[in-house]
Amino acid sequence: MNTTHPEPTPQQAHAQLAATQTRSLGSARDRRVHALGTAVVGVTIAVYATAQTIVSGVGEVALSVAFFALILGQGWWVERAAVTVPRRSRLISRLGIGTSFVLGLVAVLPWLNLAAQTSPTTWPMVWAGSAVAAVPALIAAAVIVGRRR
Amino acid sequence: MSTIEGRHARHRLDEAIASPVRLSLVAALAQVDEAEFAHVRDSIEVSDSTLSRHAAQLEDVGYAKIRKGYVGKRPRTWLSLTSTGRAAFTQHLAALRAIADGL
Repeated sequence: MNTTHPEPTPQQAHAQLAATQTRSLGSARDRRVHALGTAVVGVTIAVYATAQTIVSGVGEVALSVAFFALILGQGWWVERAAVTVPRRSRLISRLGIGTSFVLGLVAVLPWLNLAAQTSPTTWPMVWAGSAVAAVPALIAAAVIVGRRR
Repeated sequence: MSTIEGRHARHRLDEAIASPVRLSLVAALAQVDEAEFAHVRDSIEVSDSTLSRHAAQLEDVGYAKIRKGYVGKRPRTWLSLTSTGRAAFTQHLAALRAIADGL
């Protein structure tokens, strides 16, 4: 039993319960920030993974620099712009981004490599592959922004 | 005498979160995965030192985690509840509800 704080009466217990439900720390703005961050990283990973099949030399270096700059910039921006991490948004974000990465690696890249054996990979094919790979991250972003808490 | 599982609900109140400030702090943190110190301070309307003290007390009992870092050159502190803290808060709320209901 609590010795420092005396046992509350039913009325005090009611008041304490009410006090726990007064203000919410989370905000729709923070949910949007985390959702946007998730979408940007997912799309960036998808484009980076698929575009590697079509660029080479200086283009590949530029692509890698842009990729890492976007990933680092996104992390910095989310940490700076959001004052809370909405409930389970980090988990949902990682699941979405991870699934996008795996999908790009095990489905889109093999498809592009297979297609390249008969005809050169084109940018429309890269964009189509990127769009498919980005879907899980975009779904995760939608889930984060749509959650109430 | 009303009992729950043989014991009155008051026995299940958690002293570590029974103080009004710590209860507000835990209730606020329970809504998010992590929150920035200044935002929590403004939300529960306490001073920096009060929040620091109560957050440290919660960290000492394993209910909260305090993460310090930088955003650019600005130092930032983030507060979060541990899974133990969440479980303790849930149990504390259940006990309060039982008392409120006169069980």
